[in-house]
Amino acid sequence: MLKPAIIEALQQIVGAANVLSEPEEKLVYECDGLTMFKATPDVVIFPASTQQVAEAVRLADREQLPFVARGGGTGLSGGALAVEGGMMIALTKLNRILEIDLDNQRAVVQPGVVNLWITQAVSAQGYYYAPDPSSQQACTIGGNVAENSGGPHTLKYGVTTNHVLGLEVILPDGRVIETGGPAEDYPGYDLTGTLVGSEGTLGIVTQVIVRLMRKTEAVKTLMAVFESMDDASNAVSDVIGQGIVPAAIEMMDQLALEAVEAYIHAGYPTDAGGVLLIELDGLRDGMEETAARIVDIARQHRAREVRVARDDRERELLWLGRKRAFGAMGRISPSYYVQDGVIPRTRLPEVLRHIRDIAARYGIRIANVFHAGDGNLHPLLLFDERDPDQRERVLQASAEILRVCAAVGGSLSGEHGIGIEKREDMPLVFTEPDLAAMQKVRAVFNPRNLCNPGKVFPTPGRCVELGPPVTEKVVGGVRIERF
Amino acid sequence: MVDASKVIEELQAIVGVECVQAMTSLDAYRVDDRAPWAVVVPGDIEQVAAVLALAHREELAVVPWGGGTTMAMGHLPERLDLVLSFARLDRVLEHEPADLTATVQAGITVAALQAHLGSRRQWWPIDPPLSAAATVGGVLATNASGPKRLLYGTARDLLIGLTVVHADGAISKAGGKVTKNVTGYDMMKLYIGSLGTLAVIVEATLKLRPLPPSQELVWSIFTSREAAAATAQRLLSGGLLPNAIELINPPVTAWLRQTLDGPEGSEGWSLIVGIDGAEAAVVRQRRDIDALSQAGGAISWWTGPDDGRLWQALQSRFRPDGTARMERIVIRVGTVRTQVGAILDQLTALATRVHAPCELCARFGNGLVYGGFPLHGDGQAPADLAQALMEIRGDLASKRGYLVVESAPPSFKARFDCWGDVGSQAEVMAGLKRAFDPRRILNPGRFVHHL
Repeated sequence: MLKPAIIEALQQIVGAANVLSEPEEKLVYECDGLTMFKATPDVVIFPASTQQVAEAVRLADREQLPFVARGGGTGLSGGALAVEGGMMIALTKLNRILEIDLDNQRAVVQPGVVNLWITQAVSAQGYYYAPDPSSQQACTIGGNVAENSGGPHTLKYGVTTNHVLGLEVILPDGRVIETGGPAEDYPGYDLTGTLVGSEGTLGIVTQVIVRLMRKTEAVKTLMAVFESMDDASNAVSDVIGQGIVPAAIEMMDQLALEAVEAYIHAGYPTDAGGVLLIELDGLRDGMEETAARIVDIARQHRAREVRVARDDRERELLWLGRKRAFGAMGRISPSYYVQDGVIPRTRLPEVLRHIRDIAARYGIRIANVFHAGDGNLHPLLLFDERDPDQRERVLQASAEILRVCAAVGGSLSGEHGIGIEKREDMPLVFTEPDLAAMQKVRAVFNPRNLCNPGKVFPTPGRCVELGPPVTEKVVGGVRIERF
Repeated sequence: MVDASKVIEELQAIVGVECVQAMTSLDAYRVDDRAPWAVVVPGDIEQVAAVLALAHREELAVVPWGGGTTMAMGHLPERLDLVLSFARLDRVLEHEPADLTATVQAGITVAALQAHLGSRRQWWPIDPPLSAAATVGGVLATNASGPKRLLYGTARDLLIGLTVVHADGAISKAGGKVTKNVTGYDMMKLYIGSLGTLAVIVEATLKLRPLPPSQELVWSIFTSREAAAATAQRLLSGGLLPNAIELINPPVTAWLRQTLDGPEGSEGWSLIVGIDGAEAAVVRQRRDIDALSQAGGAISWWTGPDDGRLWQALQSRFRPDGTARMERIVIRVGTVRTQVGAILDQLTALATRVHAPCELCARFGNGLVYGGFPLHGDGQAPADLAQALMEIRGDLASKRGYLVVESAPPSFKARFDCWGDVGSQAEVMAGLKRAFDPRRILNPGRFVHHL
């Protein structure tokens, strides 16, 4: 329980209406997109300015109160969870686009701005913000910065870090710093790049300078239908190997197609082994030829059909099916758990085979909807949350998938982050010295570890507890519900 | 006091007698006004680690040395004992074309890497100055780039994994071998451009691109800076996808034309645009750029294949070889693209004021301007240059731009802050240096705020 004086001080800073401390008010804030983990903050505040965030953080520093920032709450690794209780700083009121400078292709935005709003604000002038996570209608830029979010079009254009040029940051002791800026290659250490993807453990971002991209004059979207995932995977490697870099290459397997069709009716075949969604963008000239080469490659890998979207409507429908795929799982399963391992793309066929084996061995269904071009897998493990036995099997199968990814030279997360979900798995890909170097950085920014504690790094002296299903745990006086 | 002969013996035991140079003139490894007393050439990562552990124990100042092309960068070294040469760590370790990735040792030159990748029709899309000598490790440590960053980005966009050796000899890696990865902190960003002051880069995994089937240059000449800049801006807001847009002033134009083919006859400001891609796309872009240039008032133009020579020649003008005699002071200004014209005018006016010719090259799309100011015959900088640069720096800072001196003779560096102030970030940066290199053995004094 917080001292009433702290609540009062916070009310002073942000106004009484912007402080939630009653249990029923805080229900929404007990988890993010990774709903299986829950922890309730002692207090949730809604600051409306950089100044208010800084004051609240200074207070937390003084009172030794842990704190965590939260944006749209769509994170999939528990990054915005108040695992040690304390203060949650909801940034949803810092939601203004402060500046748009098209001549310089820059925008300055507050962290609570929803990803898609930026593109909507500049679309009519022919510009867009490139990173496009599937949750882009709800996730915020602050969250994107924390997680270094990706999306389907990162194959060609990179992830959040490649599009963020500068930040205003509240350090964990309340000092405000500015990193980077509208120009490029500032002297000194690249703190902007270090902060992006640090999962909110180094400070709280209150302003972001992003790069705006010019829309290309032509876009072509193709759907290639294969009898097997092996064929589809090999086609992906071949497209890249032959010197073509599409804007996106997405893959869906039969189970995913079935769910998506039931939900969106995007025109995907439901009886195919796997489908590739390939998007080309760039200049009009030469695009037909490139598309023809892709069709050839697909045919060489026994594609039974290659369809080209005839107009924007068809294109958007195909993408809608892809972007709503996670949500579509509700049509075929009561719950799902999504993995985010990433592998060298040439290892796709064997890893997908492993995933099929794992599904069979644990007796669960696994759908695959993922960024094939990047080798970023998203196996969706389908189960019924109410059945403890199924939950346990899903967790074990998921851990095994991660081990396979690590074993083929891959990594634990392509875009969802480590959070609390995978912190104990970090030793699969990093040695003690690797983690020690990262922790030195954390100690410089966040020496008292009050800023988003319990994330990213394995708990010292504790191995992952997957043991018998636990419904409730108490850590530091806070309920952590795990399955 | 360090017992040099004992240290040399220990170094010899680590890397072999033939891989330690000492007790001889090491002027070729001079950094500004200091020369090391030993040059060590390790043959693997473990040897690098052992050398650093020794340097750490004895508190010896170490300069990691790749091709030596950027040694003029930064403040005067505070101390210099050992040069750690990467001459033997120059191999491609892995190249998987279908993954578009390669893992290399830090000492491989960019030219050797591109030749290797080129045999499989791929490249690492970075075109730094002096690429025949510049190494991958050096490019990363100095965040070097070239004209094609406009389309392809810089090291921070094209590096996916890194192995470093820390000041105390610990070996750690960051990132991995996959092109998309958010597992743990992005430590690579911290090491890129840190001038080897936090850790020593020993291996890197790079993100590659296919070599474009066709590459061309379109070079137009304008009578005024305004006309050239306006054309560049129109080009960027049109639908084209140039890989480079460089705007260069009349003295550099004249020099380039003596060196290479180019537009005939006229004097003026050059706009040189690079294009690449499928043949059809290149033909279309060339046509559109010609039309834009002519509409913008170009007085002559030239088109030719881009074989890399022109960009290398242009960049060499602004990246004096660190080991050669210093002939000019080179500065870099960073600002937003719409301010580039004003900066070019300011620097031109400055040159008149200090009675020195100046050579200017703007990487227009990225808002970067390189300026070269020749030194007098006695090696001294023009009088008042430092003062004039300080004024421009102050002006830029108010608009969140910056000015750094990339190379200058020691006499100039002794009274000019090469990097300028890093503002509110200073304490964090100093904290990082303390955490990673508490004994200050890695390039001490050379980076921002003399870290």
